[in-house]
Amino acid sequence: MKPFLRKVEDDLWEIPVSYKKGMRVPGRIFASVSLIESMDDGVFDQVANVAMLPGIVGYAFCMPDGHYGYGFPIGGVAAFDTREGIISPGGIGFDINCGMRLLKTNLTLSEISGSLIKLVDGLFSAVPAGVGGTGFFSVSRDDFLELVEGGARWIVRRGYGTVDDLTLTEEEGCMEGADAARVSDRAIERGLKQVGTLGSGNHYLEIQVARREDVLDKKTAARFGFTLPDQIAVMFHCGSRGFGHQVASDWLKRFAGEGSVPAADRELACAPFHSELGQGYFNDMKCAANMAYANRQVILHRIREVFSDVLHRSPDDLGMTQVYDVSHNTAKIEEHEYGGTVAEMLVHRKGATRAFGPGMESLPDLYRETGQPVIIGGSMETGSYLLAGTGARAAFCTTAHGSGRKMSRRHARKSFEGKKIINGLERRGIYVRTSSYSGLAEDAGAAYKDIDEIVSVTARAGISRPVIRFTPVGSIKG
Amino acid sequence: MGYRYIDDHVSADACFVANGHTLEEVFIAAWEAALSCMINDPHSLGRRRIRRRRRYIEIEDETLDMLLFRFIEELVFYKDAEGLLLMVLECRIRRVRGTYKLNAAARGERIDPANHELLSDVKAVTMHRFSLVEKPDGWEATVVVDL
Repeated sequence: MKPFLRKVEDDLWEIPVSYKKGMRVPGRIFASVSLIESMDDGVFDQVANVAMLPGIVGYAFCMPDGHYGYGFPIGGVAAFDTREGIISPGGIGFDINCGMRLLKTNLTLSEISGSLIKLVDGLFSAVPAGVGGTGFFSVSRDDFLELVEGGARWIVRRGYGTVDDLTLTEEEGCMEGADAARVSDRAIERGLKQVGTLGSGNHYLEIQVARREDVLDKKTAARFGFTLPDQIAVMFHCGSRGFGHQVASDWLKRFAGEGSVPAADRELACAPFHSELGQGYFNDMKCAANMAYANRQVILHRIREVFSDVLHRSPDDLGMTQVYDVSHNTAKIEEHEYGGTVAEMLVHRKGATRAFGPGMESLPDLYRETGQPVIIGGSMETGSYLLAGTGARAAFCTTAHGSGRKMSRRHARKSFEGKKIINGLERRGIYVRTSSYSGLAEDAGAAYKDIDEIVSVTARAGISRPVIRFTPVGSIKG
Repeated sequence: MGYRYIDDHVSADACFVANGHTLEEVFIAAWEAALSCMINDPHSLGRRRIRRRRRYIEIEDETLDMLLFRFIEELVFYKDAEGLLLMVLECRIRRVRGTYKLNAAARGERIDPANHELLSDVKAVTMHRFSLVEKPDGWEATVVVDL
């Protein structure tokens, strides 16, 4: 165990302010003994660097799936006073509003077994994946400007989806106040052809089953729409594509030149939230977040089309309703209580999921009693989770976002073979299509931490509670 | 001129060190390393019997390291905006009135899974541990790209 870590309680560790000169607050990491022992040393340093940023409230947090990133660690969470605090692109990441979306069906595994290959092949054709993938959803430049201001709402107005989809998306599918006129031409050019695409890396789309024995909380599962034995769901993971990546790059350069650049890490360059620089980035970040909501909305529509075409039934008849859409790379203005007072804060979450709890005002009526659905994506070999937010004050209502890597991409590529993984998965009844066998090897299950362990930590720490564990039966890997 | 990856430096992304006897060589090697994250055989670009694309790059910056940052970023931009993977053939860097100017010629192809074994998408070049330093035998760049 690292000698500088102080155990606060089971599954919660503190990095004291004495760890590094300049820390304004302590760091806190949610992890079991085995997870904290396996964390890269760089994570502790990066948490400490975040703790040095002006206006930070309470603690610099790291979730149990945390690993070494740049600027913030992946899994990093920090809230800043909106009056005196900063905003940092390094606390959000390059894939702005990367997130997860889950929809349910009223189908069971036995009902789709005979159509599984057709469904996966259909999805692989309808949802482009891989390096530089371009979409079938064609928009003009003017349309694209409206899209990044309106997000999923703009897509639904064009007839691709329902108002219920919006209700069941964080921010109702649009971060308000985004002004596309301020975004760079280069960002627009990079994103124009990518609406409705998955991307590569760890982005995926899966047909999954909620096996009877993996429904961990029947009452909440029923509220989330899962009542049938071996019920089928579709889960996907993607973000704002080249548009968001360019927005992040544009502002990283500006912040490095004009912002406050901590000696510890240029990726933590920051500016006061209410400065011209801070507000300029926040505007463009909202545009990128809206691109991601729009992107996931188009993909949702494509999924419904494919299921309907293959199974010859309408999406309504198939019960294909959205469960929820969660972001895990954003900064959002939220009200939180700290030190006995409620204040407005800018909460940075980089590889971390908002987990609002029962009764919280911004949740849709459907989830007011249960807390928001939280989607934690795992590897194609190990499964994923649906949880419920608890609204725990610790970590400003935040929980984990995925499995967290434990092996580098290159190491994984050397250690595993994509074709062997596909064959092994097929023997287990999981049909996979990929744009890259090497990319598949990079995301082998063994390259990630144990998702069951991560979810258990979030449950024991009280930051989210597991509802269903999903097993993939069909997977598209970017 | 060449590059090598540094394993387990950044687990989710890719870190590489590029070397060159000249500035131009290290710039070309750094882009080739980034390209190798996306396809298996970057040297095959523009050599197949398919339509070749040429692009000319012109960028400038006050510092050499940011010039390299912009150079890689420019080539990543073509990948998404035009669906092009480009290999840099020639590159020239000059200092003009306190600013570094780069002119480069690149040749490549449209991204097509039928022609390339695709690996991971390079989303962006980062400033994490980013450096360009002069060594006794030339130049060395350390770059982390976000995948």
